[in-house]
Amino acid sequence: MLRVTNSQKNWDNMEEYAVELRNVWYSPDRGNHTLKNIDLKIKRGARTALIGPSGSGKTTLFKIITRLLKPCSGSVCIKGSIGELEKHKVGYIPQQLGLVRSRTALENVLIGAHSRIGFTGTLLGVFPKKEVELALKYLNMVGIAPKADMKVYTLSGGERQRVAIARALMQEPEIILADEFVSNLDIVTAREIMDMMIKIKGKDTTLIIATHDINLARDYSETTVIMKNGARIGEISSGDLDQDKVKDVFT
Amino acid sequence: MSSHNIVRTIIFSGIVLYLAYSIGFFDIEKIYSGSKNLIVFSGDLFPPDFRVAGTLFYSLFETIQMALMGTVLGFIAAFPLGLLGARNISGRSISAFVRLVLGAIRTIPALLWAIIFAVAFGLGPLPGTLGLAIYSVGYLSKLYYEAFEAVDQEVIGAVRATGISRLKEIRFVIIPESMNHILSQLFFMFEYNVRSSAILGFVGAGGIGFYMMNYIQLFQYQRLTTAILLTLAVVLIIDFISARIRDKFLTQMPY
Repeated sequence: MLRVTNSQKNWDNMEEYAVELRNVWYSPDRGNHTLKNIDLKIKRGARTALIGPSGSGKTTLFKIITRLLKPCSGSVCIKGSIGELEKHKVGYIPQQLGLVRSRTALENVLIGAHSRIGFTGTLLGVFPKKEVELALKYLNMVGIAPKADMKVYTLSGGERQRVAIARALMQEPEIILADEFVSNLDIVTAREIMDMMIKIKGKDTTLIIATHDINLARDYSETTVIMKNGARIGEISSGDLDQDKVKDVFT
Repeated sequence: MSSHNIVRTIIFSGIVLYLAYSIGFFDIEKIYSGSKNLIVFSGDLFPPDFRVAGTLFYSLFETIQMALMGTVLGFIAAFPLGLLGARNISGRSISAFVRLVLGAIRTIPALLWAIIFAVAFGLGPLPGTLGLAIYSVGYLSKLYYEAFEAVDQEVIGAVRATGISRLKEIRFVIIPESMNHILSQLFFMFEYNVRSSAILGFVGAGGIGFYMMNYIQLFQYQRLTTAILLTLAVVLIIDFISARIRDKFLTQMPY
């Protein structure tokens, strides 16, 4: 069995890579492995796409990177500009967005600030003025400032996606993970949101999107990692992506 | 296939018929005299004697008071216990222990709790209220941990990834996401307690049940009718009001 190692001494190019996985195996029940021997290196500030059919392990891989799940074996190193990256510096946008539907857009965005603020005031729902202003700034940036006080369940799919982006930005993340990002939206809105996302992410912010849309991966990422049945089966420059190259992956 | 079904139907009917027989449904003599008694008894119930209405109003008030206090006390304890009993919040071992205790509490009906407390605290509304409270804890906590566990795991995952503390997660995610359940089950518990508090007086635990018991023992059936009608009226009114409050509080959330 592989041993879990976590020593950081052996990592090469400490500054260059934001995500480094070595021989990562994961199984939810000690039976079937949903991730098989994953090796992955992602450069800081890069835009990477993960493509593969449903069940290929993309979501599990994201949960390993956010450290919501621990690998059964192998090593995970998520690096910030200085040393290991704290959890809250990884912004995670799950497939169904994970918004609190009964709360307003603003309240949802403020959730991203919790790691920075204390407990007493916030328990009563009072947030520091600075954080509220910051949240409004991000809502404005994603283009839904006028709807800040609307409950999430009244918003449209595209608007909810924007709220989720604002929440992730509120964490001031160095890495943003977006699972099946914009895949529930119509193509026009999806592209509009992708354009915006690329525009507002910082230069050093690493962006990883999981998608099954080859066109989206080609147009919005630099590198594409291809996954199938829990294994990484290849990596190509996104510009070279076309239907023929990945045909056998999806069949 | 069909012969299979016929065999199954025969076996099933056989079991039902045997159970009916062993309970005494085929004892024609008994059924006949029983039905006759029922008709005589029904005649005795009418007309209702409304002269006792004044006294009964007071004890009905006591009944509602017991139900309300029992529900409030039960809620205060059930809320944290529900959080502790939810596997996705407190973890496997703590929740298993809490569930065991709650299961044990639920095994004992409210009436028996009232008897236990009446022995300890004497007669009156206090043992009745405590009985309702502890029964509410057992029930409401179960309803709550189920509601908390039903919160979308993806929402919890997304929020945990922000590095939020567990208490804040409860405050900003678990409670808002399950607010509808929390309120509607609280109202359900109150309605349930109003009904069951009417019967607690049978064991001397206060409320209108005490008078019902007395009227039965003294064969004052016309007064009993008054007590039943008044209870019915109050229960209907409370159902009506609480349905109104519920509609007002609950947000309608289509996805």
